[in-house]
Amino acid sequence: MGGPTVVSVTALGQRPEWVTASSSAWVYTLVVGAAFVVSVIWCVVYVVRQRDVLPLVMLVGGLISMGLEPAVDTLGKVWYARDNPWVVYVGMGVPQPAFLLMGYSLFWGGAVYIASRLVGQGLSIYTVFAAVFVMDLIVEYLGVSVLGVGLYYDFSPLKLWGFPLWWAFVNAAAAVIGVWLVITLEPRLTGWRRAGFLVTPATAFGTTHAACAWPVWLALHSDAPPWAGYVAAAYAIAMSLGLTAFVASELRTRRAAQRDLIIMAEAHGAVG
Amino acid sequence: MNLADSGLPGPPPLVAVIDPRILLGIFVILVGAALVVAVRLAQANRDPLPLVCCGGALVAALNEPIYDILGKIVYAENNPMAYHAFGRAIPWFLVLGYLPWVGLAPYLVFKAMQAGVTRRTLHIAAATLFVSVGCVEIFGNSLRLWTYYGEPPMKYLGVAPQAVTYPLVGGFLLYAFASRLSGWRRVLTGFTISVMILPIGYAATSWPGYFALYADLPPVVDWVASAALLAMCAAMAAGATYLAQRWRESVDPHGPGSAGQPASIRQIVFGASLPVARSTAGPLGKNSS
Repeated sequence: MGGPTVVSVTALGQRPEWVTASSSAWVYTLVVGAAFVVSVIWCVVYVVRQRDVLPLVMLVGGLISMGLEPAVDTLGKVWYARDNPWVVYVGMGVPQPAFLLMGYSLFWGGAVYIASRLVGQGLSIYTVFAAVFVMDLIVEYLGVSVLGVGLYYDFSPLKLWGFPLWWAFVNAAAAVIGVWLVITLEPRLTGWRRAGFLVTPATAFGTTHAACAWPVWLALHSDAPPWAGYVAAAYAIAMSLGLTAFVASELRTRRAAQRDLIIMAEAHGAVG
Repeated sequence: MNLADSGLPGPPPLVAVIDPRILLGIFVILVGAALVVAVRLAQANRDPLPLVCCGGALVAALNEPIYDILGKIVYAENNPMAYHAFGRAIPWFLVLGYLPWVGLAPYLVFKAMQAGVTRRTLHIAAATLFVSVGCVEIFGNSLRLWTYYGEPPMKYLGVAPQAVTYPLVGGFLLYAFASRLSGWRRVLTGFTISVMILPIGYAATSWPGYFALYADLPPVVDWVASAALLAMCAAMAAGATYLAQRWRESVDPHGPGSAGQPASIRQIVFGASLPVARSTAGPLGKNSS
């Protein structure tokens, strides 16, 4: 058997390696970095005061989930300039800047944790979906269209001002799945088992993207006509909304069960 | 012009040492048998779901090149090819192989769960699936019909461990959602589950291995990532059988440990000690018609 050849990247399409980062990319890194530092400090204080490591574990889990970024970059045709400030590593040939590392931790770890607290207090999961959708639009357009830290190259369906909108639906659904996993697993993963949450952000992110976006990835990397890409994007959006509806139904059931438990407890108390 | 870099090495050229049509012939026979089983089940139960699952699995085969790239798998160039995508050629035997493993197997697991087969038996069945896929892998690799060009230990964990996840999880999802539906809802739900269960199973469990395959990490990290992959496969499989057992306890009035009356999925979460649910609405908010 011969050694590895170097043909697969051309088979996956030419990457825009000539793209350079704008000087404003430092702004993006500093803003995300500042938010990350604040989050870490808050988590450490929370761990000490509340004696619950979950928010810190989720933050670290979000860091770990960044390992999936090169895969979705390759499959979804995303590129980050090589001269971006502070490229932490190169994954599958795609430079991974530090703002991604911190952003993943904040988004898929920290934001998902905060959303799980709010949902536990009665916030609708559809509100979470909408909020993450809007947040993603802001982050993506700031990074792609304004500061030029990266780009979505070649054809991608529903691309508006440089950002394919189907990504925001899938990202929002990934956050919803993450919230659901936290709520479902939190009562079960107590004590040392909290370490199980280290894999939750990556699992939620990867599973949702794989389940929703694979037809789009296929359309981007085949000879399919553009209209097939739009059909694939419609599937991705429909699946994202469907998964959100599933989680909403599950949470309704969970809340009803909790009310049943309260009623039972009150009834036993009245009888006793 | 080559733009490849060390971050995304190309697969090695590969030519099978036997005529690949032999393998294709074996798979045609296997798939034929699986189809016969699916048809007979559909006729016996007057239920299109087995055939719908098989059809959904064939659509799911379009995911193959994604996980071939991520898992560093390449197929012999002289295999009869079904389609090309992501710069990869996908053989016919592989596409057909989705039907029994990704289509029929989850349906059989669903029926087993519905019939009250114990978790232990399901786990033994999952282990059997693991061994069967492992045997196919040894056969195929030794004859250079395909190969894994990543480094160990991840190169040995690309397919077989995941083979216990999607049948069990797919079986549970069919049990929890499709079984309570009828008509077009049953067909659509079954088809959707069959299409997405493979990417879910692979993405949920294998991402540590994919990361390790494409990152230049110390060997100890590779082993940690591989252990995480195996642990998540086992956890996903065990979680599926656990949920299926609780689901059956809540909805089967004649089975062991049942709640006595059908209940909603809330008893899955909080156990059979709850009072009977006021509503029999399922997870999709609809009663089965």
